[in-house]
Amino acid sequence: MEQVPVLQVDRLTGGYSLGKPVLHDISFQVGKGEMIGLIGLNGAGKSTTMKHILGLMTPQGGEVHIQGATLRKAPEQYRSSLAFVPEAPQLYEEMTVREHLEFTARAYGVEPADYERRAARLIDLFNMKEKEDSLSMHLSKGMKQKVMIMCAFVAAPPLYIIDEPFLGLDPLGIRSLLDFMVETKQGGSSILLSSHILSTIENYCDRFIVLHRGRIIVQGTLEQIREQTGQQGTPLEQIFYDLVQDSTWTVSND
Amino acid sequence: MINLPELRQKRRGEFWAQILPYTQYIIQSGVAVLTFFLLIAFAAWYTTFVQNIPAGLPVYWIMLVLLTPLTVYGSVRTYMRPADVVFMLPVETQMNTYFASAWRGGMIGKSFWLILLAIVAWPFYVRAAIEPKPLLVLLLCILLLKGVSNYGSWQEMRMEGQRARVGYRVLRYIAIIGLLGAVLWLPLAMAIITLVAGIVIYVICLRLPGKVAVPWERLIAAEKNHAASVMRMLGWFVDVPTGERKVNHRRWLSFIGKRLPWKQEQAFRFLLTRTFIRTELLPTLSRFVVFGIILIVLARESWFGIAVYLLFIILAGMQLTMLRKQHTDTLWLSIYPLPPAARRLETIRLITIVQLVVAIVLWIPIAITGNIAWLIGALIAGLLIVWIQRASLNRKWLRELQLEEEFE
Repeated sequence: MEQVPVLQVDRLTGGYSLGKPVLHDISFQVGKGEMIGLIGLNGAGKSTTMKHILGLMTPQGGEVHIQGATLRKAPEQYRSSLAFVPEAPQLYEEMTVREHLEFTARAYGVEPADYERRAARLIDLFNMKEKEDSLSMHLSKGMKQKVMIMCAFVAAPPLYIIDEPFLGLDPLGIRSLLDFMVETKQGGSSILLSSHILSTIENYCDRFIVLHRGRIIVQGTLEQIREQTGQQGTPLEQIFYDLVQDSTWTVSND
Repeated sequence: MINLPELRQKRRGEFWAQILPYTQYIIQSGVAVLTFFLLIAFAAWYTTFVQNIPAGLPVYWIMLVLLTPLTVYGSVRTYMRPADVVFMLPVETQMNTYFASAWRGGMIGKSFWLILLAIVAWPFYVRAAIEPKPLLVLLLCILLLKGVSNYGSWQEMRMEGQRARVGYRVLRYIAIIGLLGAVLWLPLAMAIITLVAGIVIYVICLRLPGKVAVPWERLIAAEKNHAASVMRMLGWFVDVPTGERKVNHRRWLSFIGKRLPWKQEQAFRFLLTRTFIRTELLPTLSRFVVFGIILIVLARESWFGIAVYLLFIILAGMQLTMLRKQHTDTLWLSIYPLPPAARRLETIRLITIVQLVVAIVLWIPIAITGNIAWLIGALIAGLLIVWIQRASLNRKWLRELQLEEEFE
C-alpha cells in the first residue's frame, strides 16, 4: 500500500487578490522523514506558499493535504499535524520562555511528562537555561527566534513548516538547530524549510524546490537538479544563481 | 528646519481625531445618562452627608487620600513615535520647544480635575476640620505641589539608571504626600514654611543624579502607554484597536493559572491569565476596586452605598471585557489546534471568576455593617449582576460569530 505523503500540495494557485495570483499551479509533496528546502528570491512566493499550507490564506485553486486531511474537512487533525516557525519571531510579551513552551504543549495536547522532558532538552540544547523565566519582551532577537523554534519542537507534530530559521541565530544556535532538525527527521517527522543560506541547507535537505515568480522552476534532489540544469558538481548556490538569471528557465515557465 | 511646536500640535490633532469618532458610541452606550443620574444621586447623598457629618471622622486623612492621586500623578503627552529616535535626534538640543506645550498641557489639563475635586470636597473639609485653611491657600498649595510633582516626574525620566529612577520616584511620592500632609495638618504659617523648605530640598536633590538631555526610548515607551490607556478606556464601550500594552512581570503572581487542568480546551485560559496578571488590566482594576471600597465605606449606611456597590460591579465587568479584545489578531491562535469554542468559553469563564472576586471584595465593607437584610440583599443583587453580564457577553459574542459566519 502506497504511503500517504505528510504534505501534499496539488496545483495550488493563490494570492492576495483574485485577479492577480502570486502562486501559479504549484504541486509538490513532502514524505515522511523528509527535509525539503524551499528556495527562491525575495517575492518568489515562498512565504505565500507557507501561508496557504498553514491555512492563513485560502487557495484560489488546488488543494493542500496534511496526512490526507484538508483544513476544511478536518481542521483539528490538520492543525494538530503541523508546527510553524515564522521568519520574524512572534511572541506574547506577557509570557516567559517557559510559559510559551507550556502554552504550546497545552494547545497541542502534549502529555505533561513529555512536555517536561522535551522542554528541558530544548532549553539545554539552545542554551536558554538562564533565560527560561524571562519575559519574551526582554529577549534579544536571536533568543526570540530560539523560543519560536523550541515551541515548534515541543509540540512534536508530524510536519514542521520553518521559514528562514537562521535569521538572528548565533553560530551555536544554527548548529543546534541543524542537528536537532536532522534528529527530528530521523525520528520520522517531516520538515519544509525555507532559507536563503543555500550553502548551509545544501548538505541537510533531501530535496529542493526552486520557486521563481510564483512557479516551481525545478525540483528534486541536488543530483537531479544538477542533471536537469546540466551543472554536474556545482554547488546549489551557483545553480540557483544561474537558474534565476537564465531567461530560458524563467521565461519558459512564466 | 522642523517647526517642533507645530509638529507636536499636528500629532496631537491626529491622535484626537482618531479618538473623537468613538465618543458618540460612548454616549450611545448609556454612560452619559448613567453618569448624570449618578451625579444627581451623589449630590443628594453629599448634601445630606455634609449637613450631618458623623463625629470623629478623620477629615485630614480623608482629604489626604482624596487629593494625593491627582496631585502626585502627572502624565505628559508627547505624542512621540518610535522613528523619532532616528529622525529627530539631530534636533535634540531644540526639543525643549517641542516639549513646552506638553508640559503646559500636563499641568493645566490635570489641574482642572484637581481644583474641581478640592472645591467639591471643600464643604466637607471646612465643616469637619478644626482649623481649615482658606480655600484659595489650599488650592495654591496643592497646585504648587502638583507642579513640583510634574517637574520631578520629568526629571526622573531623564535620569540614567533604573535604580535612580525608582529611588527618586519613591522620594517624590514621600515628599509630595508628606508636604500635602503638612499643608493639611500644620497651622498655616508653619505649613507654608514646611512646604517651601520641603520643595527647595527636593529640587536640590533632583539635581544630584546624572541625566540625559532627551530620554528618547523612555519617552516613546511612555507615550505608547498613554495612548494605549486612552484606547483601553474607549475599549470599555466600543471595539477599538488595543494598541501597545504595558507589561510587568509581577513574579509574585506567577503562581496564578499554573494549576489549570492540562487540557487543550483550557490552554487559552492559561495564556489569558498571564495577560490579565501582567498587563495594565490588573492594576487598573485593583485601583478601581480600592476607589470603590473607599466610596462604599463612606456611603454604606445609605441606599447610595448599595448603588455604588452595584455600579462598581457593572463597571468592573465592563473593564474586564477588555480581555476579549486581547489576542484577536495573534498568529498562534490561527495555527495552534485549539478547540473552536475555547476562546469564547475560556474568556467568559475568566471574566466571570474575576468579576465574582471583585463583587465579594466590594461587598466586605457592606457585610461589616452587620445589617443582615442589607448585606444579604446587596450580595444577591451583586451576584445577579455578574450572572446577567456573563449571559449578555456570551449572547453578544455568539451573535457576532454568527454574523461573521454569514458574512463568510
